[in-house]
Amino acid sequence: MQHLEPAVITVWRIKAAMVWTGLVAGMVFIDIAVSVGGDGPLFGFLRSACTILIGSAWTAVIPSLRYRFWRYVLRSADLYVERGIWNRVYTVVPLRRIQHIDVSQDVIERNFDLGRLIVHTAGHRSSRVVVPGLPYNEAESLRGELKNAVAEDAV
Amino acid sequence: MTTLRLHPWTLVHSLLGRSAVIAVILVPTMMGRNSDSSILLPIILVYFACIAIPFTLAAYYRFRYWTTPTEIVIHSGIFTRNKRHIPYERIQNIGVERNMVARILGTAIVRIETASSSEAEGILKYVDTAEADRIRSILKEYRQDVQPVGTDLPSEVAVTEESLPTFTLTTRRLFLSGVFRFSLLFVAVAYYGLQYAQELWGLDDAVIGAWMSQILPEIYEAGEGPVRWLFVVGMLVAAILLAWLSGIILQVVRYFGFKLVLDDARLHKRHGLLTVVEGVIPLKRIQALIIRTQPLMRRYGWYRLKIQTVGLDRAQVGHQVGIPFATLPEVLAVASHIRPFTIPVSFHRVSRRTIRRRSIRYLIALSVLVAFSSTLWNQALWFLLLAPACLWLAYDQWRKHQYAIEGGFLFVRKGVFAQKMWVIPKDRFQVFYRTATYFQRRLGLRTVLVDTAGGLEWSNPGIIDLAANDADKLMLDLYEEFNHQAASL
Repeated sequence: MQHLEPAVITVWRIKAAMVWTGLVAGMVFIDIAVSVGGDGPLFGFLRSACTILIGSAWTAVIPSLRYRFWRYVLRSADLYVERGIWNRVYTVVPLRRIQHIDVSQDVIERNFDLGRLIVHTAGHRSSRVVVPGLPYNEAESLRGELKNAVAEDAV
Repeated sequence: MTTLRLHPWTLVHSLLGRSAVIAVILVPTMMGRNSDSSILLPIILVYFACIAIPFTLAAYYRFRYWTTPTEIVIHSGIFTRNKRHIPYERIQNIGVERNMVARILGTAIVRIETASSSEAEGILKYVDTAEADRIRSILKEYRQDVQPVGTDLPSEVAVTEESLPTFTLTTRRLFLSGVFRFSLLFVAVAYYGLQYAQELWGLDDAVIGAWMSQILPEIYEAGEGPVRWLFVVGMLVAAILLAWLSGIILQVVRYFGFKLVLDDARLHKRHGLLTVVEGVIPLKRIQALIIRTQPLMRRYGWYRLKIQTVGLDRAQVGHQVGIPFATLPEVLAVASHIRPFTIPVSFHRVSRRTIRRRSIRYLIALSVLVAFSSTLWNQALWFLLLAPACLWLAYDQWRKHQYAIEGGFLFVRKGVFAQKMWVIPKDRFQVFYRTATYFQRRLGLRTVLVDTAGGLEWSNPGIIDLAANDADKLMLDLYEEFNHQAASL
């Protein structure tokens, strides 16, 4: 069983913080609009405060929890993935069911030299099975291993 | 292995596309009465200098692709960089598309499709015509090397229908099938009818409103005791009759002259009264069979067959009607022709603890609903009398949820009102899931799902609330079946 690269926690934190900053900005805007609109500060900036509170708790806790429950291993005939905080999901992707493979990296991940391995299958729910937080070379070499294992098989 | 780029015209194409975007945004503002067109030019300049041109160039230079002896590799993306490897043996279809502009410029769009359920897997937009032909021919050569026998179906064989197994729906049967189908179509018909009547006779809303809000209650008020009840019952019966009638009409319109012919490789389907729908489903595209019924139909021995398919065409993905209405032996005869199987004699049940989990869930849902509605209507507390129904539902769901593995098939039964049985051949298993939510973990329960191609999210053959040990065993059994099939290939 392999863990993800711990740096992925920081990547997830940054992404969560970005989303929550957007939400907080929205709430602050609403609060200002309400108080300027003459309805008076009924709850003051309660809405914004709540959003900030939930947002910071989320950003602090969720990424590290998610990391804790994320595991994967490439076995001889399948890719096995374990994840989920609330709903614990174990996935077995037989290698010969793989249709094609992506290695992907966004701007934030690039700063930490991380990449994502994305395995596409014909399965309805599993059209994209993503393994995030891999060192970029590791993601590429995993891709190579998977590729060799993909055998002739059609839907 | 040479790295290739798209045709330079791609730059022009995508720049034109981006210009269209800004035109769509700006035209409405220009139409405005007091628009100041002097700020328009700077906006357009900034847009092109900072967004359109840099992004077009970056996307063009980031997009590289090449072909190796075994696969097509595509690198793309400005901020999110993606490297995609598509093995030739996975490619189902290469579509070459030439629209008007592309044809004038001698370019084409190449779409590379695999069986994966996500959107078109590789799009080369645009390459020149010769390159499009080259990519197509590479695949053709690869296929000839690897598979000397063409896997494509023989082109349209004359179907001698008399000799082949056929299922037809007689008109009598068709009407009968409508009897089991209620439809609220009449509500829409009544609505549009009313609108039409309004226009025809120049009635205004007030008249109809008055009729609805005064005359009906007046009739109700005028009577007393039994007359009132008779009125209410009469209205209900009328509504049910209408729903029933429109159900029959719908069914007749859709499935008139239904005929299903099975040859060795395909299903030919033909039905419809006003629009005749004709379809061909290659057997090798069929992923799973679903036998459906509902309590009333089951009481009289009637079933439906649905077929889960994937195809080259995305419209072919999903559930399609195999047989709209037939007896179980008839459904099984057709189903067995598609994939020979027999329904197992004994099925397994999931853990009884599912009754507890489901009951709690439904009771909570009911209480929340009652709590909300009682703030609006003080009689809403009466709905709490539905609590026993929640318990019954949970129990009946457990009773009807069954599964079995036999003869290389996974059978899953589920549903109280819409009763379904999935029949999934082991060679159509795609990916295996074992999941457990927090509440399930507390009760030692797991859900097992075999993912198939072309399935539906809201109606999946997941086996819910197995005891943890049973779930692990089932996962192993399913995987073993799957691998056994792999070895025998």
